[in-house]
Amino acid sequence: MEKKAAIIGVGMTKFTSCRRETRSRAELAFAAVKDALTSAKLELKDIDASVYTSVDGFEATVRPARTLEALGQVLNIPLIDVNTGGSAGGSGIKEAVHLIEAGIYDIVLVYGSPTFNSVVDNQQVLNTASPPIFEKPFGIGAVHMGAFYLTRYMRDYDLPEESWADVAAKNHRAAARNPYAHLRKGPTSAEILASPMIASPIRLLECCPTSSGAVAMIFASEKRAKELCDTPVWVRAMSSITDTFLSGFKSYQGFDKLKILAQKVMKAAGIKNPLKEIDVAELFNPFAGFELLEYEAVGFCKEGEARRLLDDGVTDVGGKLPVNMSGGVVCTNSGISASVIRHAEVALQLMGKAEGRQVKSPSVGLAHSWGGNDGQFHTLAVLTL
Amino acid sequence: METPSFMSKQYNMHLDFSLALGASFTKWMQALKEKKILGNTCPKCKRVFVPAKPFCEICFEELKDWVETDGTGVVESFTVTYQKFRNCPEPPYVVGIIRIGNAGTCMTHWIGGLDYKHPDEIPEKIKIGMKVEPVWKEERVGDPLDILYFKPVA
Repeated sequence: MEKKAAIIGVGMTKFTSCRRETRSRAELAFAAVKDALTSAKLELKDIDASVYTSVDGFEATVRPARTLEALGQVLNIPLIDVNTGGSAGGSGIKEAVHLIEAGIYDIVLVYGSPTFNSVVDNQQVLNTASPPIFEKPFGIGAVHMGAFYLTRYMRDYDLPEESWADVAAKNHRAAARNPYAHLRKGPTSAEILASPMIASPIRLLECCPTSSGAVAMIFASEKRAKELCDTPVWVRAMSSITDTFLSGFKSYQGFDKLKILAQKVMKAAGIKNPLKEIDVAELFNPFAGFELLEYEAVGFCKEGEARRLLDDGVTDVGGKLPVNMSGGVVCTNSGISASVIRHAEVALQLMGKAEGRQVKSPSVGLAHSWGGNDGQFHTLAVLTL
Repeated sequence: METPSFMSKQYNMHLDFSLALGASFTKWMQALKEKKILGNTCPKCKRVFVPAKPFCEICFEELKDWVETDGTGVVESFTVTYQKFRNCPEPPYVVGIIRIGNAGTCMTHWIGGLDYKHPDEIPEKIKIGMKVEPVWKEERVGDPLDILYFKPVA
């Protein structure tokens, strides 16, 4: 029989601004892992392997996993360090799932670190993601790379700027209901449109903040999941995809790699109509507008029709397929925690534990992560009860 | 004096790097000195790569055949930066994704030669598919920055 992996525990700290953070990295790791173990009814000694996810550079070390070394050394268990840029959380989860599905381990911990909270000027490190000779001199960082996609989409589909603000406002309203989110003031579309333009067409309140906080998840084999958990969340299908490194080598016509990945993952999950069959989704949106391109790439609607889905309230509270009820990455971006959180949030929704932001009885969820230079990596997971 | 409950400590690192460019990038960079934008072609899929590449990522074939483009290109996408970022140019500046000739790939470079008096209006002045040409520096050293920027073709 094919082996299955399930999520049986989720632990999260509250998120705040990096500048206001007083908790050390070790304290954040301890709080998140302790919370995850408690929710899974386990102790530290029960973990067979731990997966640490972060990105080099932000902590002035090539060993960012040092925060969690104790979980590998004292327990005499493997510590697996996974780094695929912003999508490292999704990639780390995929490794944990594979290890369990292969029958190698029964209990695996995945930890998403607060990547951004020690570097004084994040943008300086983010800018090192682009190729140093051909692209870096032109002054492009993460927001510019995002802007190339959104400029092209606006022009191709004659999208008004208001649509970016509307999708941002939907996320901000959702974050106001999420006690763990960083930005919880819930600005309106008009207030978002009045915020300064950073890199056209992206305005300040359509950009993620740099947040601090941590998340941990416990994955278990089928046997252990059924013993330990009343509502295990099964990983029905999960995969990832890789693109070339250079920004200039991309077409900027939608998220083409995510579209290919989604077709593979939906097929593996037996999903024919994503909009009909999926109940809740967390899509990676460090810039609010990404969410619209992602509706199309994952198959919620046809190309050019994302705006209609948004305007009809399909992806809002009470809609057929609520998206980013956590407030999304645009309201809380704690580096690699953000890509683990997409999965943690969907798991909490399916478990019925999404305090303040719970969707009514979902049974199938979708979690996405995005990272590397200019969307070089995507991961996508279908999670079910 | 009050004893703080929480402290933070600052530290920094300064790291220097030197990157070997290899034969293809070197040839491409050297041609810029002569105001030439070269491309190289995949023997299998016939895609033209600008900037040049050592091999075709799709066919995994070595790129040995060179073509000289006329230097003009089209804008595939762009962004106008209004915010000052450390170690980046003074805003506003425009970065374009520019397809040179019929290349299968694009270059990242500045789009200039525009009226900057009304920064809010810059995006409307740039069209997707707009034709652009390079404006060269007087003193060229073999670097993408030998091109000052790309300007709209009159």
